[in-house]
Amino acid sequence: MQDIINENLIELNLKGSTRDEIIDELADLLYQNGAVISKENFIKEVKKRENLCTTGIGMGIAIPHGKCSCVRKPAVAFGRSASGISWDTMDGKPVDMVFLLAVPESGAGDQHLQLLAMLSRKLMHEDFREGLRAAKDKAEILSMFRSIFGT
Amino acid sequence: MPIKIVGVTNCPAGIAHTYMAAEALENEAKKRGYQIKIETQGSIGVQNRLSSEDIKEADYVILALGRGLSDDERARFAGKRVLYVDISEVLKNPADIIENLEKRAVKFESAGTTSQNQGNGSNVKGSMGVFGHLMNGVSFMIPFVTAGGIMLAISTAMVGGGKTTPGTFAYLLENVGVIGFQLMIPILAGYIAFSIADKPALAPAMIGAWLANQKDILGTNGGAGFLGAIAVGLLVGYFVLWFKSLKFPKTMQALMSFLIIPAVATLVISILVFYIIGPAIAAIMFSINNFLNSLSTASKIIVCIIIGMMVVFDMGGPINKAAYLFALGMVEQGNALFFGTVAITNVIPPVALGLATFLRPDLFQPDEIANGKSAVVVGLFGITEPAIPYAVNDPFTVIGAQMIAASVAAIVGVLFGVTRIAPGAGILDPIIGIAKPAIGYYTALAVGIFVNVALVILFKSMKKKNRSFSVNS
Repeated sequence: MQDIINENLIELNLKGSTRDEIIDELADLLYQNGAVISKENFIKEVKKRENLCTTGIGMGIAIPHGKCSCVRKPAVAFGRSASGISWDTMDGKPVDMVFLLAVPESGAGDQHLQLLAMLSRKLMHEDFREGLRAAKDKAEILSMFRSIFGT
Repeated sequence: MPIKIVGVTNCPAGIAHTYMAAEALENEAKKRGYQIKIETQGSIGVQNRLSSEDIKEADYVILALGRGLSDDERARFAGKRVLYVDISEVLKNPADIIENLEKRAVKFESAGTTSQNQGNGSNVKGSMGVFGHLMNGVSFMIPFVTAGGIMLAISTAMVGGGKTTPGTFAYLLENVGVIGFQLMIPILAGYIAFSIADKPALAPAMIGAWLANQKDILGTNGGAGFLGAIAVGLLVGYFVLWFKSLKFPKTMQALMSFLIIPAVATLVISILVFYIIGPAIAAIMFSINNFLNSLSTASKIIVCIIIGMMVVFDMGGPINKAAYLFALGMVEQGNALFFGTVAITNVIPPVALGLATFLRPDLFQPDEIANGKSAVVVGLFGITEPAIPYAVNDPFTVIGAQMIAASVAAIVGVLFGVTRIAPGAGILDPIIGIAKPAIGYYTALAVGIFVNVALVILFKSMKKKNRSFSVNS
């Protein structure tokens, strides 16, 4: 699971207040972690996907994602915001939790895609969302991720 | 009886929305005590695939799509009450969708299926499904047939039909060609199974088909050929599909596709091939040999007709092999007439099918047309394999036409007394002096090819006409 998410890919206090600022902030974490080789190309892909149809799925959650040859390994960056982020969401409400998923163009192991799929499914459960909101520190958040990935 | 719902979710990237929507629908349905099964079409491939049984039993179908659904996939839901929604609508308000199914789901009629003949319609769909899987296998197999065939044909032309010498360039090309043909069998089986049950089915089917074609391991005189590959592909595909439908804990699922399913399916198919298909091949070949021997007193024309039909029936499979070995054995006993029939008939199918794609491209698939050019050239050198893709795609038409053509050619061959004394290389046989008389050989070949081309075109046009009638009615 450490391949997919670790403490360095979690930000408890996102600084930005707009969609593009947040994508930039989380993409930076992925870049610093070596998950993506080119931050610019990755952001371009993410925005392309976002413009197709918003990933602000409501319930305070956005799950932007990009599939790009600039991604070295599948990973997810997670960020929480205390003040709320303006995002074109499906229920019209602001976003306070963002999951930025990075998926390689090819050669991605199915296990990793499977983990991202499980995460997506889990987000539809209220107890999981509230757990992430209430978590006090990165370790607690990591253990919640661990519970879905079963490691 | 609880209400039963099935559905499909997909989205442009196949990373997140597909799964979120599936989960949301499952949650809402379960809250109300409904039964639900959702097929996810994401970047991992299709998971939780709906069986025809699932669909038959369902009261409602929800298609929550972000990137559409092909006509073939849509056809699965003919006659059901279907609700089409955009996938984002599901994420916005899943409860609303489940609650209003009764009001919003509309009976979906597919083209050509009226409510009176639904029973028939679904049967036809079932068999169309199998042919769809076969066509997928063929499209992956064709490049192997073409590449291998061209290498072999060049090699044969370089040595003028004789044997290649180890270490020479012709020897290299010959062996590369043979490798192509050896790989073609597992590729066909593998991608038939892949089309049915996705990635976990690929390895077991490829391994099983390779095994089924290894006569030395099986202890038989011939391998299972392309018909064996089709059998292995379908067996493994449907076995894996069933295996995937069993309930396992979610945490085990990643392990399932990569470890458990491939290992179990490989074991099962290997046992089947070794203990059932292998002995079956041996038994078939043994009884054919006895049968042909018992005919030795019958008229030569009858025996030649039977041999000709056998040669083109499974093209390299056990029946072809049995006829070939019998005819070769008779050469040693001083009767080269039967081997003359083999020489003529194994050239007919690929050349005829290739020519038919030139004459009537509208009757063939795009990949069949592309294969046609090399099939003619390669086939002329006595290499039959390029005909196999056509036979897999449309077995009754193609094999039927070439069996009739082969028997006609066999008759012409006997009338001219065409003989061959050694394994050869197609149209080079008379030139290198192993097949005689040349005029008889070429006449029989030309007649056979002509009849085969005419019949393939006739049968395929009739089939096409029938199909368009039934759609209109």
